[in-house]
Amino acid sequence: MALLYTTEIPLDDLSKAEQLYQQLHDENCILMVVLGNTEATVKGVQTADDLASTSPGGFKRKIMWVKNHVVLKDKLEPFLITAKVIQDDTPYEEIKCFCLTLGPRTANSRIHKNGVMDFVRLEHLYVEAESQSL
Amino acid sequence: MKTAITLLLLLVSYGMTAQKAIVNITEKKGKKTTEITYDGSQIVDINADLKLRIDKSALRERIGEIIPSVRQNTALQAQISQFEAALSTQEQVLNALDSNLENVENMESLYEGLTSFYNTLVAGGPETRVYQETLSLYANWQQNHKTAFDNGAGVSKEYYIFTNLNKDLDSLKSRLAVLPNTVYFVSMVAYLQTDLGSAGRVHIDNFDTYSEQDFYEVPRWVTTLSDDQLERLKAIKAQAEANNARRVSLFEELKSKFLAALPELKCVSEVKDSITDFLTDGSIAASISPAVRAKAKELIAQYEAMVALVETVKNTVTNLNIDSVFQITSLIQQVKNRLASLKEVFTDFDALAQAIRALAAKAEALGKDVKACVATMTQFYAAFDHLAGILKGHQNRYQDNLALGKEVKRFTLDNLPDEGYLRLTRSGKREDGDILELNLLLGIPKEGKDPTSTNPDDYEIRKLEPWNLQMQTLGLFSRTYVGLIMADPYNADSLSGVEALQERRFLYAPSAGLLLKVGSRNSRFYNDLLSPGLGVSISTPDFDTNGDPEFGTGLVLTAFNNILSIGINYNITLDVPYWSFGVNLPFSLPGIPINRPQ
Repeated sequence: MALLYTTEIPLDDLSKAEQLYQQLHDENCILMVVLGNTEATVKGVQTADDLASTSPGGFKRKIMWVKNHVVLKDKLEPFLITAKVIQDDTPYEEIKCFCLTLGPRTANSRIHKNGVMDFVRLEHLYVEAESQSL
Repeated sequence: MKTAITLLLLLVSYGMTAQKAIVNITEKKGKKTTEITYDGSQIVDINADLKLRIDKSALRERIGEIIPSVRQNTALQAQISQFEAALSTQEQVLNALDSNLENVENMESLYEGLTSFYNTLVAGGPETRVYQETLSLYANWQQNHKTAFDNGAGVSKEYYIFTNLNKDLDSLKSRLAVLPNTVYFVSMVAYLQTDLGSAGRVHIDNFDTYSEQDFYEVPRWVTTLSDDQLERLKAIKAQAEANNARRVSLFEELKSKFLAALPELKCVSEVKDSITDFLTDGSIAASISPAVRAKAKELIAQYEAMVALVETVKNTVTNLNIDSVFQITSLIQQVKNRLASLKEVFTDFDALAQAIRALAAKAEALGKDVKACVATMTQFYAAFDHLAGILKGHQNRYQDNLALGKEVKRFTLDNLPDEGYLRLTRSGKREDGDILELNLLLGIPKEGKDPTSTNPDDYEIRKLEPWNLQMQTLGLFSRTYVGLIMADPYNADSLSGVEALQERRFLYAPSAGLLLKVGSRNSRFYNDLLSPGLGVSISTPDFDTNGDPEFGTGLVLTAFNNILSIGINYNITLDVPYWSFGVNLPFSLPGIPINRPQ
């Protein structure tokens, strides 16, 4: 199925990647960030995209998909450090998914690389970010 | 001994430690909170408040292990609880969805309810039924209802999920209703073990209706000697014996000790043979009167009865279980009566035999054997009486803690409180090292008995998780102590005219001290046994042995709970420095030489 609310970040064009990131960052939306390109991640992105149109509070939801943990790391990692998601035993490379609130953007929970990106976990992230955007 | 018992208990409870703890204890002292783990040292601050949280899923699992017929029931109960927890905010969510979400309060209410819902699901994990059911319902909604919803005609995924989870919950409840109902109850009780006279049940908020004791805070800084401190020193041996009788695991040890103490009573058969020989001895047979013969036969019968009684005692003790009714009391009385009766018969026999000149010599020889045997049996009776007392006391303590009176509340998994609170400052008078037993109990009424009965004979009690918390003043604290020291002056030669010091090196002197100690959170061995102390002491030696004690003061270092002490002191009266050491064992022996004034 087509991804209607997902922006794929190019891995081979850094300036384009940063430009897309900035656009999404500045947009008035709840922003789900997905990192990696495994089979499970692809499936998870589809679920996140499906859920983007179902916000119970009417929030605009979008997904930013970065298919590796290198591109935009300098932009995304600080959110996770501030939220204390990244710690000694959980580096950035072990994070698969997290959600940012409306601006000023903050992160809260995350899905670990071993975690499942199913409806419950993804909607949990969306709802958490939305409740903190009220 | 306390430490040895603790180690024994830890070994016994090893099986428990492999399982997830059911009761989670948080100690609160001032603003500081500390988690107490089941497989840790189980040492708590003696003046703390304890919060007791019950992990219901672990409890449910444990109950299922103990009562297999409850397993299916509890599995369904667990699922129902998970559904109920997830749906606890459904009304809030559905009301908010039906209202105007432009209103900030409605929006906040919606997200508060949804956050609670998803947090519960994530916390429970994907293996729970409610989680899997939610995934399935979402997939169904997306496939069959999303398009309609997008077109403004269908229901939201939240409405769809909540509505159908409720149907599932009803279905689970229906299934539970048709399962055979196994009656059981869960209770929690606490018992203070102390030698200060306040041992007994301790109130736990939410779990019983016992009254709290008067407020008593164990002082951190003790600077004065208590009136009974000297007396307590003498009583430490008795205290150790009482400590020995505390623990469940000690019951079997006591039994073994008891059985080992029972004499073989070989003398009984030997005496029986001697009496038979006496009766059949050709040289005196003609002189044995019918009365003597009858008494001798009676004596044999008494011995035989005594042997049978000892066998009964052995069998009874061997089969004695800490949960069973204690039957030894009547046996003790029987042994006592039998012994008295045996002595009486022998006295009669001896008098009759001695009265006949021809029998006197033989009777006297026989009498020696009989008296020796009676003495052996008297020892047996004394040991029996003493050890049975310890056994009985131990069993009483154990059963007191398990027996559930009407004050102890009974719960099922449905209405079991999540938390209980216990204030040690309201548990009664206690001292460092005392034990707080905490038991989570499972009660299963016996077949045909009233499940609401408070008669202990009507139900079987299982200990689900026995805690043995040691109460201790933690960190730096001060205590006073008293003891006997051996003092050795450095320059004894300068003490002119002191004959006693020419004859021996050490003189005894009473001593009292004020010690600084440190209580450990992690080591019972340290608290119970090592317990070093550093402080100042005063003593009243009598170096010139004139009957007037002098005054000495100095620094003292103690170890092993003040059993060992070493000090450097100064005799102010005589201007003599001296060093001293003390060995104050927790018991006294007759004849300990206290230096006497001449």
